[in-house]
Amino acid sequence: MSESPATAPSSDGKAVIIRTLGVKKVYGEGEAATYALQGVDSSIHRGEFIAVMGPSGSGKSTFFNMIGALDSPSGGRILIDEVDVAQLSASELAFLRCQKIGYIFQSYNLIRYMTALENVTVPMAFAGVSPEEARRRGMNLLDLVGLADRWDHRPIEMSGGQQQRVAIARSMCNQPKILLADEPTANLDLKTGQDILEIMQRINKERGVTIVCSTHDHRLLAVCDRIMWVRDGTIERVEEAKDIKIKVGSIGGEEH
Amino acid sequence: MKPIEAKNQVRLGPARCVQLALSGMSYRMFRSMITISILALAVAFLVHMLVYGLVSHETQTAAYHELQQSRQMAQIITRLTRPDSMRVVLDQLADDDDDVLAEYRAWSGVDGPTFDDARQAAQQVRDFDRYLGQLPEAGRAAVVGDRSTAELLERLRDPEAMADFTQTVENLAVAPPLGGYDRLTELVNERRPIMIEAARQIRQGHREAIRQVRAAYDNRAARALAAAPPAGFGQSLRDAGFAFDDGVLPGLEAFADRADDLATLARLVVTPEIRKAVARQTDVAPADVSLEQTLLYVDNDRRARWFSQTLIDGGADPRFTPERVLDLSEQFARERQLQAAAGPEAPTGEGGILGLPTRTKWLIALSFLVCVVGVANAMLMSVTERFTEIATMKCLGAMDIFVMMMFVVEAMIQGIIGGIIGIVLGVLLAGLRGGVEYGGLLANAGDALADVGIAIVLSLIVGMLLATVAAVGPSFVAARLAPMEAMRVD
Ligand SMILES: Nc1ncnc2c1ncn2[C@@H]1O[C@H](COP(=O)(O)OP(=O)(O)OP(=O)(O)O)[C@@H](O)[C@H]1O
Ligand SMILES: [Mg+2]
Repeated sequence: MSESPATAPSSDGKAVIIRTLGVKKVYGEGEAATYALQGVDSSIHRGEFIAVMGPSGSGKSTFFNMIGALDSPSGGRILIDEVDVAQLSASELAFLRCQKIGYIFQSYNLIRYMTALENVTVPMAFAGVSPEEARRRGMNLLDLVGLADRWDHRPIEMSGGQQQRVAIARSMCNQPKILLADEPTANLDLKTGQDILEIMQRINKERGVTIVCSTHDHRLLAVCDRIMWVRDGTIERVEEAKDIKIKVGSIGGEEH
Repeated sequence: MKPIEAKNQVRLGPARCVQLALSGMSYRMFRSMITISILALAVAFLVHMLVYGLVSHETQTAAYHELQQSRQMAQIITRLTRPDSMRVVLDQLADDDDDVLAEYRAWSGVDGPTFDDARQAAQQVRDFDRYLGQLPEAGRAAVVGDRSTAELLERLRDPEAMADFTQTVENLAVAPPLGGYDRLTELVNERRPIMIEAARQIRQGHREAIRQVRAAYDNRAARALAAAPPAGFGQSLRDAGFAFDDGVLPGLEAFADRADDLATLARLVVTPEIRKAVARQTDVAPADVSLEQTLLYVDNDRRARWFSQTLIDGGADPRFTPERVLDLSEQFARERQLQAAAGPEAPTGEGGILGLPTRTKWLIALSFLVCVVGVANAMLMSVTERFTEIATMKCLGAMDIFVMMMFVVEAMIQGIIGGIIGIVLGVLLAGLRGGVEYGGLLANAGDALADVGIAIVLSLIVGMLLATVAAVGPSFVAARLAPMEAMRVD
């Protein structure tokens, strides 16, 4: 895409990496129609760690699918690096999904019949990484999420939390510039959840990876930069994390 | 930090594609095996139909020809023994056997047009005979009574009898014979005498021909001549006017021997002593002992030794050794097998799949359809049950073309494996079925081997092509969906 401008400052001067303009998503038709997103305008800055929070069914996962170019919106536009994803060719879309964005799905979406290591290497195979290199990198990543000894287990032989960690390892295998994480710590115990948050924070700070992470986990507030509150398919408000931290301090560990 | 550029995804080469498809298949070994077995069954069904159809057709054709040959030999021996009877001559005149007609022409000395008239008359007599046969029972009794067709025709020369006949038939309210009474009159008064005369001359000529052949060989009996055809035998037969194919000569001796022995055996088997012994051994009532039943019983060495002993004890010629008895029994069984296999109709001349009988071709078309549906269903299932997998792969950056290639390559590999297994199964099945149906006669189907080869290659191609084509459709649909849309398909 030659017309792509290198950077486009948002109102507060920071470069915007993902922008949504009036994005709508309707599932089903007529009577059964569900309006999952009802005109979402948002901008996500390069290198920031943004938390998406909202009650169940508010449209978080739908929003992730939109900004991850995994599903087509019913209305509105999605720009990644100021390029409308609707204009990308199939090959460019595949490149985007494979090498520029890492996904951690709420339902993991591991391939049933593959081992943990093979699952992690799939996106690398698509990126043209040689099998040997892919296995090496895959093992490192599994080690990072604490599953090195389970590399040859299949998803059904693993707990929900272990599957989630395989999904996390997979999302990072092509060193994406954007990491979209849909409740990455939902099934993890406190300790492992904390570890994962630390890993995410580290790649955010050290490698400058933009992270969009939905969660009900309030610990995320400690590591993120901004929080996007979603309700009924709209963005209620976006807050700077530092403003909230004071509030959280006062209300304690109240569940959402 | 650099911004994200919109680059093209890496294109994976076909080798990598095959590699991924293969590893995909081995991951899903069990499912793959089910798909392959469905493919194999579908192909096996088709191959079995094709191969069995071809082999069966060839076996029947071969059996027909073999029987035809022994019929011919039997005919030669009879016709060398005595001239054809009037009835046989008239039948043959109405028939279209070129060889026999050539003999008759040669023997009768009747010139062309007259011979053709005689033939036409013979055919009309046959038509008339059929016509009478079709009349309702009561009507036939009124018209023919207990007379033969020949007698009736002879009587109809009398105009009064003809008028009577016409009246009776008209009363029956059926169509007139031969399309009109004037043609019947013409047949009775003009053609039939020509025919009778021609037939008489043919018989005369035939008798003459036999005499000529026997004179050439010191009046030896026909059977003795046939049993050991002397040198130049074929040529002297031809000189005497017999239409003769040298190909049957070598077999003639063995055939005549066997015919001789069988005739002797038939007489021996019903002599009281042998009959009693056979009845005791085979556990049937003495009255039911027949040559046929006895020969079928004597089907192994031990029984052959027993039967030979019984015969010789009963005063038979010592030439009925156990080996000879067994040989006769085997020949007899084979003849029966041939008769069962040959079927009533003359086989079509064409070979190959197109030369098969219409019924078989329909069955093959039907099994082809079953094959198509089976394969299409197997592939459709194997693609649709993997929609979430496809969706996941697309989420992770698989190109549409890669998704399609993966399925097509997989389908091709499954098609080949399934096809080969199917062919082995189908051929085994066809062989087994043919063996049950035709037994040893199956060995005669050698000429069909080339066609069977073609059928096998065709089936393999069909299986592979079908599997591939059937996989292209659904995987194309799957590949084009947005990843999350594909994820939602169930
Ligand atoms: N495939 C679908 N078909 C129909 N409706 C859907 C579909 N997917 C989501 N929805 C609806 O869209 C709305 C938003 O769903 P979404 O999955 O985005 O919620 P969420 O915020 O991720 O919830 P949770 O926190 O439980 O994951 C819900 O009302 C849901 O019922
Ligand atoms: Mg969700």
